[in-house]
Amino acid sequence: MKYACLSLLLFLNLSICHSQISLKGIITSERSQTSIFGATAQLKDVNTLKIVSYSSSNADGYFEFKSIKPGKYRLEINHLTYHPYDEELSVSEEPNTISLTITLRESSKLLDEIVLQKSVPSSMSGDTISYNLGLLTTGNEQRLKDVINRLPGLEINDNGKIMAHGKVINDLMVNGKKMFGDNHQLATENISAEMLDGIDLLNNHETFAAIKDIEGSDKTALNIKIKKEYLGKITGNVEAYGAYQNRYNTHANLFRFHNKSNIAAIVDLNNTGEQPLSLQNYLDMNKSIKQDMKNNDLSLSNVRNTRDIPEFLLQNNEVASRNSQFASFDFIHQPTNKVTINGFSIFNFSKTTESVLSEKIIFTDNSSFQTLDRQSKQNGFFFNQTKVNLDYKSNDKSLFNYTIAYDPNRIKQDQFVDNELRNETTYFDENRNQRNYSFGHQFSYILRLDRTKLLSVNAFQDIKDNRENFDLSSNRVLFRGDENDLFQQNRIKKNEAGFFVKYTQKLNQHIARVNTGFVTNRRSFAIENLLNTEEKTTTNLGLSYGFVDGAILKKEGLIQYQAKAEFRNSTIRSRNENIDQPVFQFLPAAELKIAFSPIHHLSVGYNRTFDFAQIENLNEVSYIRDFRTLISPSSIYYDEIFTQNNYSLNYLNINLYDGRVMMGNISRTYGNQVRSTNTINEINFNDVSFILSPMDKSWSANLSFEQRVKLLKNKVKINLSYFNTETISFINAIPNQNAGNIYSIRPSFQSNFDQSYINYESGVKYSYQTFNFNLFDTRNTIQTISPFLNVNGRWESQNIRYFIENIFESYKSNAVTRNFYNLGAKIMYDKKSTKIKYWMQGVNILNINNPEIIKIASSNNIFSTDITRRLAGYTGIGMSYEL
Amino acid sequence: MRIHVILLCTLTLVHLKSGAQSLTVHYEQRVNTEKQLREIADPEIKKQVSSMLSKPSNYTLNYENGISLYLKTPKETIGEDLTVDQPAKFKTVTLSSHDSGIYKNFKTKEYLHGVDILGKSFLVKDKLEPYEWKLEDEEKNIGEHRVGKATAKINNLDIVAWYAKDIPIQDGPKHYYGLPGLILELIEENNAYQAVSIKPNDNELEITKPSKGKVVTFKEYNEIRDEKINEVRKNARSMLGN
Repeated sequence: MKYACLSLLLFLNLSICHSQISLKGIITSERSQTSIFGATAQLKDVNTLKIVSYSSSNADGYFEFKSIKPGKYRLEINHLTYHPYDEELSVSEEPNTISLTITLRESSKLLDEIVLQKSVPSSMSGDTISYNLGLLTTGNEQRLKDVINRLPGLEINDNGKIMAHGKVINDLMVNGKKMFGDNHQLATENISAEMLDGIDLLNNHETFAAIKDIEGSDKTALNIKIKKEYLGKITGNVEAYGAYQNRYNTHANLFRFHNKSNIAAIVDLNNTGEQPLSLQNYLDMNKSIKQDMKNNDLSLSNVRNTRDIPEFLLQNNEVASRNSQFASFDFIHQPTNKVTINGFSIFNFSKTTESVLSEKIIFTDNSSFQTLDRQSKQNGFFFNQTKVNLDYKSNDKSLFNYTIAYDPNRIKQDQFVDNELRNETTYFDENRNQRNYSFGHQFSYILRLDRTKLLSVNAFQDIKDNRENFDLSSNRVLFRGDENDLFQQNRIKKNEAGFFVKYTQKLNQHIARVNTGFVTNRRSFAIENLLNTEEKTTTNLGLSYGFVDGAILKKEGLIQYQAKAEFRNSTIRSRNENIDQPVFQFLPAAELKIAFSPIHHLSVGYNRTFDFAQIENLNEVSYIRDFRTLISPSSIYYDEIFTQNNYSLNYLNINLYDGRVMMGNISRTYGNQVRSTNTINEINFNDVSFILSPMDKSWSANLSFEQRVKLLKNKVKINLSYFNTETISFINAIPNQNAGNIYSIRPSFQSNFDQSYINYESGVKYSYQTFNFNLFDTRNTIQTISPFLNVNGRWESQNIRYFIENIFESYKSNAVTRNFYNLGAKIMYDKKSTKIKYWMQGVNILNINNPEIIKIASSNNIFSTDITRRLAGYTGIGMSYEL
Repeated sequence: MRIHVILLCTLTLVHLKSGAQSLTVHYEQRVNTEKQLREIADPEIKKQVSSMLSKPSNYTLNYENGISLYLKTPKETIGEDLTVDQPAKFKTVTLSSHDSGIYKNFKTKEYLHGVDILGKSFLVKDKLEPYEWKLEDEEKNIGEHRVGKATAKINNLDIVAWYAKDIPIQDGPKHYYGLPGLILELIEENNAYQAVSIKPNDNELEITKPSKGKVVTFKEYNEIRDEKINEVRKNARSMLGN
């Protein structure tokens, strides 16, 4: 038995051995007898000619085929510069190694140059950073804003705007189509992160290719790509939330993203204090239609719109209660390749109440005294902005664009003030009623003359009309008169129209531009009140100017620059006096940039701007601003010119490999003269008149640094900023240098753990703000410190997500301190396959009664420290249904 | 007579020299657009992305006597193409913007690749190991050349290559080699490479070995590359927090 097995093994072994035949060879040159390197040897089946094995000769001309089975083969040897060789071989079991010697004959035939296919010149270049979020599965992201805040170089600023590398982005697009105008907040707060397929940051963005090719573009755009499954149908969600005490929030986001059109409708009704559109956005939207003109410099008209806006519009969270109803509709439709129509309409109704305890120090020329105001305000606000835009591209060479915008709004404000001054109590009741509207339209036509030349024509008209009725009553006589009750009506009207022609040419790496145009502007300010003997006084101004400017730009390479010179001839006329005052101005602007790479650059810039006086500061009669402030006739003459020189330095360095971002910017502004005020204190009120002041300076410096720390799976961020302004105002005709400084620092850590149970962001916000009155050597300061720790996580198996927010806010001014601990938490049940989500949420839970914060301010001759009531906290439950 | 012999020898020498295996092959690399376009429904965007992605990159393979260098063809002209086709140009920051080429030495089995990832330079140094190509029966024509099909699984990717039966050079684009003939067409998962022209060279080619960067192996390079891609994605994901 043993022998049988052994012999079987041996036999098997022999058979196996016998199949492993190895074929070796050496290839040499017939002529030189040297070995040939790199010849291809192929062993093919003699019948089928299929390749059984192949090899190539090494530096010694040696090649080998292993594990060849017995059979008939054809051996082919090829080399580019030798004649091919082939022979038939018979391989048998014995011997198990075959050695061959092969000689090749040189060939004089060279391979011809062969063109196999036509190729297209490539022109890819780049500086778009593309974030592919498609790989994200679920995750704790809720909204687009949450996604953006974590992408390097991108963030959402305090006003809800998306910023890239320190600048607000110009266009927000969804699937390549512009939406939402400037209202980034509508998108960032409402587009859910689940719908996102990816986000692209496009630098040098311009939607009309002709402009882009010739001019380049300084614009940036963020393109949000929506996942395919969300296209073509109505998607979105509806949410309802109810909380203690008597708080509610219902919100519906409806989107339909499709091939030819995108529509979004957002409706929000709440009294929890959330603002789908902050009133700061309103100020931004209240700019001129000029900004909509295609292919035109934004700095064209330097006449800024700085109407006095009632304070409550800037409130944000500093209200005791807020009730708002908001609806917005946004659409874009492309019926053909040539036509695009887009537009939006936003409606916002809101009611707020405020409660402020304001301690004021009022300075006269030789002393100061304190007063206490208890202010309680009720505000009602209605606002609408509607804009429709039409683009028509008849061919690749031309673009026609027309935009029309209409913004009406109403503001109603009632304020009751209980004032204590020198142990006397006075009551004031203010009622303000404003009705405003603005209407504008613009038309642009851009024509590409040839590969390097562009011509554009623009025209616009912008009309604004602001009316205010103001009713003031008190238990004492008001101002210098003998009335307890005063009524006033103001009306400001502005009508501006302009026409421009611009020619652009590209020369190698440079772009040259010549621009000329004409603008006319009529403004009037009418005041009617009982303080003046005349019934109604109107100041009328007419301004018109013609300009020519030339610019040369280089936007490629290591050294890049822009230089522009504008020559402007303005004529300002006061209709009351009927005299024209011509003014000729030279306005240069320059910027030099050293671009080490698209994401690493250093730049310095300078520009000069100029303004005439705002009509609101040219009042010829007195008018009431508020219960404490009477504006006396202005001493500024209508043809005064205000010029400003602005210098800036910027640095940006992004290292994607190490996850490091560094951004720095310093800017300084000097004015030759500015509008300032002279205040005469009459104990019970201030008599303020507008006056010229010799200087206005401001500094700002900002540094931000971010670094990914791999080992700790954390990101470290630090943000430092400094802001300084110096102005001169007058108190009883004596100059007072007023300086304000804000220093702030915000270090933070953000974790980046793989497992999702916990992730955190922690840090401290510290700021120190001071106001100095030189005349009195007095300073008003406030320090705010708020350490924060936000934690969130997911418990995948149970479909639960949680968020915890801990912020300790501490405010400390000269005399007053306020602290409170803001704790918020949210726990959500969110099963992927279902359409309903549930959550429990508490916001500022430990302050169900209104918490208070402190703010300081300085104006004219007053330092104020305000203790303001903030929105109360709440806890409740909510539900959301996904469409 | 002697002069004739010398002349003959010289001619032969010259002939021999010019007979050296020296080729320049131009390749076009195209991104596999189908896969990327599948995600996009909007036809406007699809058109733009498609035209951007389908713009090929040009590469050159310089091969001489068993040594080759594969690198991006330098642009000849500075003048840009001012086409107005794309309404919105998407520019991309590529992961590696500088590449000093892939160097292969079949005699010494040396593999070198100078490349950068997000700005940091690496020198990938490894050995040329034989791939396990499977030669298929399928054949077709590319231009005037008869090509055969071969498949393999390299670095976890399924590769399909077409090699020229009449060009006995065991080389190809990028880090692909080892077939009985020159690879004229190769399809990876996300990219496709096609030879557009083959030119023999009379003069010696200058092949510069890549030398700058931190030395890593091929495996290490792929790991770092994947890690960095994930990091960029994670940065977006890490907002998961707030």
